[in-house]
Amino acid sequence: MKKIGFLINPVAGLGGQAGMKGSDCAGGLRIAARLGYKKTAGTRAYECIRQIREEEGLRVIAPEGEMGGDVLAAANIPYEKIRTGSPADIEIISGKAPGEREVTTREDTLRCAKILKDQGIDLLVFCGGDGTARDICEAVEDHVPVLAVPAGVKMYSACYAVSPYQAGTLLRDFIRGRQMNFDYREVMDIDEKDLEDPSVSPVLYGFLQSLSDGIRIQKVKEVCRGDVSGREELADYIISAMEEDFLYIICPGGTTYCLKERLEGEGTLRGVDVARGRKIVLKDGNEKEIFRLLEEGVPAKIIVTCLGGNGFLFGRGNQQISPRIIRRVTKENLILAVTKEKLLSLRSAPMLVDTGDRETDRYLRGYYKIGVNRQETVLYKIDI
Amino acid sequence: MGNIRIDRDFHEARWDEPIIMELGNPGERGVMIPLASDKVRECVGSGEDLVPEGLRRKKKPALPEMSQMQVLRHYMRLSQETVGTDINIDIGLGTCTMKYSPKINEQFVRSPELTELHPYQDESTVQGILEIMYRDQEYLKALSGMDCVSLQPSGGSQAIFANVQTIRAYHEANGEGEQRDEIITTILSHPANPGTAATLGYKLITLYPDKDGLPDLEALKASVSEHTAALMITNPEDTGIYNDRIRQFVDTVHEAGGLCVYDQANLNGVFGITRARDAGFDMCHYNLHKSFSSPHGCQGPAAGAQCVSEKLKKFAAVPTVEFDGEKYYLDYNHPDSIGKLRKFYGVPAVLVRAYAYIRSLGPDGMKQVGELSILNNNYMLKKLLTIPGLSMPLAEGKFRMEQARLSWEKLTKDTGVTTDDICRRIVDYGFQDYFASHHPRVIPEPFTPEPVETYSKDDIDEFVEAFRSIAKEAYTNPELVKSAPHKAALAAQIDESCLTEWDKFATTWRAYKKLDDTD
Repeated sequence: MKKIGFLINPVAGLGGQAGMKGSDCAGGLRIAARLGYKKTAGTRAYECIRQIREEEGLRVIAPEGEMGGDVLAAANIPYEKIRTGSPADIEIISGKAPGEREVTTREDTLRCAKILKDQGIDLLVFCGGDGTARDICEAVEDHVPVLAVPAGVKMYSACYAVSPYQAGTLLRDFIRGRQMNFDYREVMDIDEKDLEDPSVSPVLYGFLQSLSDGIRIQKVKEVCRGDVSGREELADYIISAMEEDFLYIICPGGTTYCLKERLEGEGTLRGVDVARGRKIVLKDGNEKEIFRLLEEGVPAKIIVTCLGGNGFLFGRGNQQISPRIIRRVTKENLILAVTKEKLLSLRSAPMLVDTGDRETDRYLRGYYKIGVNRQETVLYKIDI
Repeated sequence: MGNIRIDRDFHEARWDEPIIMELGNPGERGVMIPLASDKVRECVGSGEDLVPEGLRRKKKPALPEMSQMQVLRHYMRLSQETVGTDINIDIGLGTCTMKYSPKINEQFVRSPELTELHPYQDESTVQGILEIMYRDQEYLKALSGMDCVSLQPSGGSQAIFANVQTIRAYHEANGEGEQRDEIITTILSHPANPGTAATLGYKLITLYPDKDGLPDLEALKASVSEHTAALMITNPEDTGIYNDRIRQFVDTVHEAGGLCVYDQANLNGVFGITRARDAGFDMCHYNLHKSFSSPHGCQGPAAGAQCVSEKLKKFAAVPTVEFDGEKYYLDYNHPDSIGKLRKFYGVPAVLVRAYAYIRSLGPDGMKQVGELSILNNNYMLKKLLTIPGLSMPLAEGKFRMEQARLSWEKLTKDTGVTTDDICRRIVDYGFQDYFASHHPRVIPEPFTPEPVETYSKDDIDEFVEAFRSIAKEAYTNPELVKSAPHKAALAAQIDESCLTEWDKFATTWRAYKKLDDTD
């Protein structure tokens, strides 16, 4: 009998499509909500947990409501509610956002995680982003093995599964008693107020003992050394092929920033910018603004780079490029801005996508031609 | 294990010798050349008059002026500041196939029968060397399964260059020269493959290794089209992993109308065992200075061989050497040939050594060379991989052919000591520094050993123990390794920025002096 704790940070990822780069600040959450963006963490948690609907021989313990119970109930998985010893379940409240239900805060995460730890669980499944991972790290340190379901915005931390779906299959294998490793994986985060500073890199906050099979858990983002001349060559090549009558949706990242710097009206480091020809027409746009531009009917391409080391193209820090935007632009119009050095940092593993929509992820699978300079192309795989 | 000694007190000579441009004094002479007689001077005039005025130097060249004795001493000192292949165990220089080159073969190469030949001699007077070259061609045909061999190339890269020219000639002859403008190669192929293709104006498509450490076959399938001119591939690549899907690679490219070119520079592991043509390839090339012996290193002496199938024969580099039943002759009659690659006819000294080597081994002996090189390598790997901090990424646990690309990544993470540090430290043990990797470094902190068939078990054991000792140093006293070399000719570490930073490049003394002046 495996005893599993289950915990969701319901507001994780809320800032993603809104172009907020994270969901740590309450003000930002309010703006996201006002713009009409919905919470996505629950859906992503469901994508994971539904993989174990049929499993037997487990006890699940979770808080009620949107921090766990709602999703388990939706998946028909019986669970025991967290109790603090008092007759009431824990309170889940602190602040309100207009038009939304109450939002939870990190204190709720910390409190639930500590209670779960004290109940002697075999595995803590939590769903969130880098901020959530930091909270879990603070609450349970490396005393409780975890499985981290990705639902945040950036997710630089190496404790996360490559997608909610793969987190689910990993969990299923764990319940079935397959042999697994528990690796010490990095918990990383960038302070959201430092996001506009290109010199700031993610900081290591600690380690979590993560369930791992070496494949389904993402690798830490790596900075590719010796990448500079490759980036410049790549930027020159992509710019040389840019046409006046196209929209270019340019994703965040150091590699694409090298290109943005060369365009009229310099773009942003960590935002999604849109250029018409070689002129930037939208800086740091959110999902709705970008989609509105597409609706004007100008043919568009998406210029996207992958994260060094772990290979993520979509679903890590660029959720503004939503499944509907990808479908509208089509995969034939993806320009992969990836240097040869960055591909080497993937160590033969494919580039990954985790758009939040499994169908779109499947649609993106396949081999792509990546132009690295005027003369050379690399054939490389996108997988899920 | 009786003969294993790694604690011998090796010291390279350390002369701190200036370079020759900094030696000598004005007026010093090595040879006093007598003035020509009056009559000669009357007829010919002064030597300077023979050069048209516009071509004459304004100033005399700033060459060093030295006596014979000082010149001799200078070069003798330099020769003591190297670790030559005959005094060390040169397993570290992987991909170079540093095998023992039989000394008896030097007798042939240095005999007046060869050294006194001149390339302008009439064919009828050089039948001996032509016969050797003809027979070399025949042996290489048998080894590769190909139908035509040209010994024109001066080395491996020029042979690859010839193959790319042949690709172009073939497609042009079929009216597809402009359409087929893409060449597919792999990230682990020798850089001369993409390099020559790019030089000749082709677009490049690069395949990366998959989980098995082999080029991704599915990526190849996604990349072939009516634009494919050719696939240029090595097997095994520097990783030493044999590509058992090679036939599928060839078939995929052929179906798309492209040619397949096998880079067989690193032949040793399949020497006398597999043939390029049997795997369906249209062309291959050999480096005769590697598997076929010839002491080499530091840029030569090399010789390459271009080998092509029947349908490409008319495009091959000229001349080939043919035999009409009575005499051997240079054959320029390849109507659509890519032409000559260089002056004259190949590199005779290397061709003679290759001939002697092939004759002394015979077909069974060659196969044994291949088998022994694989056996030696896997014995060595078994021992090397017990060293803390050293691993063999890509297809871990799988047997390798004649060489392997290993990684010190773990040792670097644990201790901060890098492969470059170890490469300098190994010199303190009396070994040649080793070959890390071709660029780009696909495997982090790489190390590529190749213990060819001629090293004994004791040699391999000694090589392994030296690295075990350095790994131990790295974990206990990393500074010792990081500050190496300590016993080499240059005790200090060299500033290598002049190799990587454009504004510090100087390929001539004059350029160097200019840089010096601006400092």
